[in-house]
Amino acid sequence: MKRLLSSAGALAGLIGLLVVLNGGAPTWAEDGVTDKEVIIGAGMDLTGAVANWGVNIKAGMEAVFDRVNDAGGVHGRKIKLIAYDHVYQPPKAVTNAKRLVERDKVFVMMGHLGTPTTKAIKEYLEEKQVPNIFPATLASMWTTSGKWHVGDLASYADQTWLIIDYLVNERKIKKIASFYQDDEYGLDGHLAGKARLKQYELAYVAEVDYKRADIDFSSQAAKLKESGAEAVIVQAVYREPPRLAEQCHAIGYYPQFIGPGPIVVNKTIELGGKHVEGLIGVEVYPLPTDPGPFLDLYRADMKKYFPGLPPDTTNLYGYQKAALFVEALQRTGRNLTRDSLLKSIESIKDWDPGWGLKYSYGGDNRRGMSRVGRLVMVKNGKWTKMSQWIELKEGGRR
Amino acid sequence: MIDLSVHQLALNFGGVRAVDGVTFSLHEGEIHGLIGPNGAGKTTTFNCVTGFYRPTGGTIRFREREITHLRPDQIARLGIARTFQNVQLFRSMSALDNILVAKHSQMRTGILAEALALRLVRRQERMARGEAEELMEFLGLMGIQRQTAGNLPLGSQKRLELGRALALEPKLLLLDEPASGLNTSETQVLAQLLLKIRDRFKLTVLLVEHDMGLMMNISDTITVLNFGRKIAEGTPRDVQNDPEVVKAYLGENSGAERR
Amino acid sequence: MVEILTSQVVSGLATGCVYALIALGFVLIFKATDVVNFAQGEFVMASGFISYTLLIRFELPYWLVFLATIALSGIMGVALERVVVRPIMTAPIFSIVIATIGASIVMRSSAGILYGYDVLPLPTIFSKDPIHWGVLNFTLMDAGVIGSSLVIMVVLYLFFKLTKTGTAMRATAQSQTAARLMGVSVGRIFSLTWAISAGIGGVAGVLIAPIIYLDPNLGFIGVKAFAGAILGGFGSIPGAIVGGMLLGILENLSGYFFNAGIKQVSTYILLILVLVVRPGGLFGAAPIRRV
Repeated sequence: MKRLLSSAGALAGLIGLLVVLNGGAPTWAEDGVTDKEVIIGAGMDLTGAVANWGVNIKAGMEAVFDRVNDAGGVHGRKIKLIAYDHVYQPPKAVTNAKRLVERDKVFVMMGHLGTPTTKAIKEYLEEKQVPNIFPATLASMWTTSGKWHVGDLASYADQTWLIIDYLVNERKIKKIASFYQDDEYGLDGHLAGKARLKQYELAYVAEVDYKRADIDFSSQAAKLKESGAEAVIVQAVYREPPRLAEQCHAIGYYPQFIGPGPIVVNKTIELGGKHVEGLIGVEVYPLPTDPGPFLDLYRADMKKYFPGLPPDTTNLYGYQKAALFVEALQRTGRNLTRDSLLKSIESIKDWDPGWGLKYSYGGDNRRGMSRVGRLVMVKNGKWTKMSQWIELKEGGRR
Repeated sequence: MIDLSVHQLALNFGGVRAVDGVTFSLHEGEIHGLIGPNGAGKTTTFNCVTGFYRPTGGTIRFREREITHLRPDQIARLGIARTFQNVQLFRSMSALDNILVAKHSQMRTGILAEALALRLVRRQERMARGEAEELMEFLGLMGIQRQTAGNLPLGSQKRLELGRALALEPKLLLLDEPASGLNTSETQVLAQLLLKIRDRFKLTVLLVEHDMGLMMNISDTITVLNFGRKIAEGTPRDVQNDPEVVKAYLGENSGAERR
Repeated sequence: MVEILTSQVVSGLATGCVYALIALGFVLIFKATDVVNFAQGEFVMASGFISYTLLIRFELPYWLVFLATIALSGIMGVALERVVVRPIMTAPIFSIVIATIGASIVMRSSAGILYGYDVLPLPTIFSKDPIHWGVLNFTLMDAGVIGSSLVIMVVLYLFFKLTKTGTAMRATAQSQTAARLMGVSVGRIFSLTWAISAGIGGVAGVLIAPIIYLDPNLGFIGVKAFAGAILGGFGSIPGAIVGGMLLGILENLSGYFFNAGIKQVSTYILLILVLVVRPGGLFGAAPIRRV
């Protein structure tokens, strides 16, 4: 009994000590926000199947944060990004999210990479009321998931509408096949394309899937060839289109390959060489080589903070997210809470960071720059503009 | 001239003295028997001489060279070959290949030369095959060269193992119960064969055997062990009449041993 | 239809040949030392990076890179055996196997630290352009991979069958005790076995990396090859070869007749079916003793 009492006493003392220690520092209403710092979290693929995206998005975001921090931060707070590697695997993404929210106490999740991996932590973030800001996935689900999720650019579904319209109207191609990643990412564009084709009274002539870590697509190539498809929409990332093209060419099959933003990466060309000449992709933000003051700043920041990483669509993607986030922090002011941050994002209207395209939020629009896209093609080993910016139809708003 | 001398050999197995200060020596060209009741330390002595066990005390010299702490393969290359109580063949290799493995240890070629398939290598390889076939003929193993060793009848397996030991061109041959599992007439054939081998290959033989008839017949000298110690040594006749030996054998279940 | 099917079989066979080479590495080490080396796939990965470095950074000619990669991979195998495996050779087999898993993680991380986790394209001398040959549809790449693998297998066969060292290695695999008695230095044979296994892994790496691209996770291909080795009967050399090849072809055909999901699990479905009917695998006589 005596022992029990003394241990209870020790416990009480410990709690008291913690209260005192905690009381010593200024308290803020929100996790991750202190007088001098705001801590944000991200799950990235740094070592897995889409590591090229992960490493570069993280660098792009940090380039912005480093510049802002060097200049004193936003409203006196420096931005600290904690990113863990989820290897593009949903179970790992969940573990990492819990670590970020419960141990590191991040203010928000920012730029979380991957559709299946972000989908895996969606409910957890909602339950913990942690905003999911500008996840590095453009699946259409983030447009309709309510308060805690805010996107930035046009969805894969919208991009696929653009692809179908281009193929049917301009190329007069009716035999269209879909090659898609068998998860939330691939299905987003795949299903949107199916719906759009239906409106033209068409259907995919072949639907072939692959799994995230697959490395061999010879059976998919054979099925596509047999279908006689003249165009193949690749709902994939950068590893698959070169390999698929190679394996199609190996059996003497040369369709038009075309796909959404995630394939528009220099890595695709580096891996595919001549096999990806003529590959078409959809861009929903400018190319890293385009003119404009914002892009000049981007190139200067990348050179200064990440001299080892050349300008690429991947790091520009992260860079524009971070710039938009900093803009939101600016607008929020010193009283930073999750609610106030979300409100100030919604207040953004026609904001142009300096590249001729504008972000707008408010109403039911939870994607700042959702209405714009254009086609780019691999020409002489370079991503090259094929069209001007096109107003996107809201096909993907499922 | 003395071929092998074992001096004060000792080996403890976790407190049990398996061999306890045994001393004996083998003269060139003799057949030397090692006998004793079960657990006397015969096979342990064999394993020490051939490098499989590391003695805890004593020395073993082979032709004036100390071999006490050498590895089995080093000892084998010095010219000591042995057979096992339970035959240790390369069971899924052909009979010929079994002999060839031994023949190869006589070849002086490196991996690099082999990789380049030098003419010298090929000539040596051809020679080795010729000699192996010859040896098999001598042992009466013709016609089974290509057969898988593990599928041969026990008698042939034992002869093959003997052949493999001989292929090493040893100066000293250690045989661990070569007659076990053989019937009386087979044992007699074996006795003749062992004498023939000794004379033809001019080697010294150390023999462990339970078949006393065989032992007394062909051994020049016999060393008797009991509980890891030497209790007698001499010609077969001397040993047979030694009271210590009689006691050792009668002291336990003598029937099985004296059969 | 026939053309499509033959092309599926040929390209499956090409992948299968690479599985077979890796599986051979597993089996050789297992036969000689009773150890299942789970770092086998990492030899494939590491040799991919070695040849990448020699080709891109040192700009050496391809044939020289090919030979140097095999040699360096072999040295890596000996190093692993001497540094990681031999000091604990008296420990229970299970501990040794865990040590090889540890070594594989270290190798993977080292590659990641040195080269990053991005995928890299590895050049090859074999063209990926199509060739038509009657009903056969294939690329020089496929033919090159299959041809090189078969050459390596034949060379190995002759080595084991006809040379002194090869015979000694076979002997050691069957009875270390007896091999020692024949004057065979078993320690040297162990090192040599690891060198050869890693060397074969090196060949596999040079062949497969240009096809499926190079990254530190390339070694996971070893898991498939391991399944191939079990399919053939772990411990059987013809089993490893046939099992690996069969797996490559089966994967392709199941992907063609079904979907990506079935393709992914087809390997393991076949594996289970075979093991139910023949617990020792296709060529294995007795059930596996360990691991």
